[in-house]
Amino acid sequence: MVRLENLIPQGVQDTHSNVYEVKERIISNIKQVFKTFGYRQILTPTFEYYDLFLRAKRTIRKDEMFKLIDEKGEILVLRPDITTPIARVAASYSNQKDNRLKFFYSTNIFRINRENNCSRKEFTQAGIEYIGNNSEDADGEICAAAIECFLKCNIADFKIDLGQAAFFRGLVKEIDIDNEEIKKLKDLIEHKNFAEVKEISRKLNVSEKVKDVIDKMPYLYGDADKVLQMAKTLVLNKEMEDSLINLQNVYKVICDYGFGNFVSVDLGLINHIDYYTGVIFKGYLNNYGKEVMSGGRYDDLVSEYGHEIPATGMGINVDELIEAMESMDLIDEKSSKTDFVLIYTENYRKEAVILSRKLRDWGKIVETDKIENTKKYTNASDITEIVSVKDELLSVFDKNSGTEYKCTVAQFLNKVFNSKEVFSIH
Amino acid sequence: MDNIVIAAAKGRLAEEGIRLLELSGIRFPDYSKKSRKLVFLSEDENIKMVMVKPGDVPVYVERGTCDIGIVGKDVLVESRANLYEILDLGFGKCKMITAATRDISLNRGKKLRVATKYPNMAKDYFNNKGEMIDIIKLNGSVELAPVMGLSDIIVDIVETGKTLKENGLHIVDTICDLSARLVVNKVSFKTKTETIEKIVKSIQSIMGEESEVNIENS
Repeated sequence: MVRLENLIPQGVQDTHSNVYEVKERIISNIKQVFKTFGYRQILTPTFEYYDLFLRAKRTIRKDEMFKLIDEKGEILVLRPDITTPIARVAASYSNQKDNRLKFFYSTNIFRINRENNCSRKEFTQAGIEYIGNNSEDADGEICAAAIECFLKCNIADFKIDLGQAAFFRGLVKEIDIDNEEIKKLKDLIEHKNFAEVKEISRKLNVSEKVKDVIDKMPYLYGDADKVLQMAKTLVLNKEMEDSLINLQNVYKVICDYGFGNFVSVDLGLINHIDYYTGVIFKGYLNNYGKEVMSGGRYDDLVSEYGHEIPATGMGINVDELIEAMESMDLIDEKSSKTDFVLIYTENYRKEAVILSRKLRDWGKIVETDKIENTKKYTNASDITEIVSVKDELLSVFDKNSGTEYKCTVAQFLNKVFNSKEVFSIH
Repeated sequence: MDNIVIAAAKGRLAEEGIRLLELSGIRFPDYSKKSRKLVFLSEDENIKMVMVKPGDVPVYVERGTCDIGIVGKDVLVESRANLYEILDLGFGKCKMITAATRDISLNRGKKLRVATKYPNMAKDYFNNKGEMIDIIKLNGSVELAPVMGLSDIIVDIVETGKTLKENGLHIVDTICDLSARLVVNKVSFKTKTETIEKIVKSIQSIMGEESEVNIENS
């Protein structure tokens, strides 16, 4: 016997019909939201040059990318991220300077995740990128679109966290320490390690005021108004001040959409600070331990490809979203059913096939087979009605009620046409 | 009140953790040191405590199966899990050290053989020193490795240093101090903020009281 675990690598999986249908439904809901906000769908290649992702510094770690070598010896990678290729596309549009570029995507991402042995190495991400608009309204719109996506999927119990990369960057300017130490401090703040942050700040050669701000960094989370108020008292320079004004304005935009109650603030969201330049978003569903949405403003990325264009965006991890929805019992997994099986004798094959085309035109799911194989269908649970086409009259067997009746083709079609019952999921 | 699941490292850390929680008013009636149950419910049934192997605590908490974890810093550093490390619980104190049977000169141009249960920790430490090493991952009794000539040096945790001494090893360097930590899943911290803050604060106040008593006694 072949051992199944050897046939499929860890971190990838098959998607079967029922799950697939759920996934497509959710993706189509999300795409609908993106479309109505005026974003246009884009797809970038499944593999691209390794260099492209190396140039976009610090977006993806080197050891997270699946590498391939092409016939010329160039190193390629399976799409480890979609924002970077979209930035490449945007840079190529740059001669149309005033153009606003609003892209959406729904595609698979490939990432090696060594540390977490069970996580997916291939997952579906759906998201939007708004390029060429540096206003707070664009950031607010991105966040509002994410919220609309959750609502459209009937999720009410979720939370959006807002951060601001420039607040911490401004703070770093006040501290004269090397990059290694900044990294350490950043890690501790990101991990809300209150005690060790304090230990480090105590040893720094900075004023008491700056020490106080460092110590308070990990505490700057929670209710948006409260945190913004507290953060304002900690401002040390223009950059920090501007970052708060910006954050407040983005929050205001989101409130104008009517979504203020979903939003909280965390100024300690700084792990991807080398990449994000302004506001940062994270989306969580209650009682699900992993983030399902993430994004932010990345004004420096497009300039890596030669043109300075501001940009903001977010992506939803569709697989995590589905798993989270499953844990909240929000998914009704309907198994897809065949409406009719037409079984025929060879003499009546033509009639059966014509009838099946008619039914399919109406959107019904129809299978046909020879009468010898009837048994296969009588025992199957995913079939609603079995129709025998073997003489002038059809004999229709309704599997739900267990009843059988005879009628002409015209009578049968009439009945199907008038039936209000929804047979299948289309 | 949200339901909270706490993962505790089986053994002394779990015992100490439960003691702190009970002092702060969260009681687990079924719990006793001898019990072989792995899951305990608090009196009000809002808090569930599960006993897992120390190395598995970060896994349970990072993946969100548990909201809170009680685990040693050594395990946290080694696992590199992405968590909030909220509190230093102050118990389970020990040190991460390097030790050898004879004097070790670094940067001698030859790879140092390092035996350890903590390969990541060892790699980071010697990387920072610019020392080339070969890691020999062992699962226990690491002190034996230099004695038997399996390695030049070891990276391990010590509490009293007695085992080292009895096996003829001496400490070369202290890498860092370790103790038990309270860690929290990043999303739980955001979605169950109030409940988690309440638990953290009550533990903190108990710790505060105890350290005051200690100071008075000394």
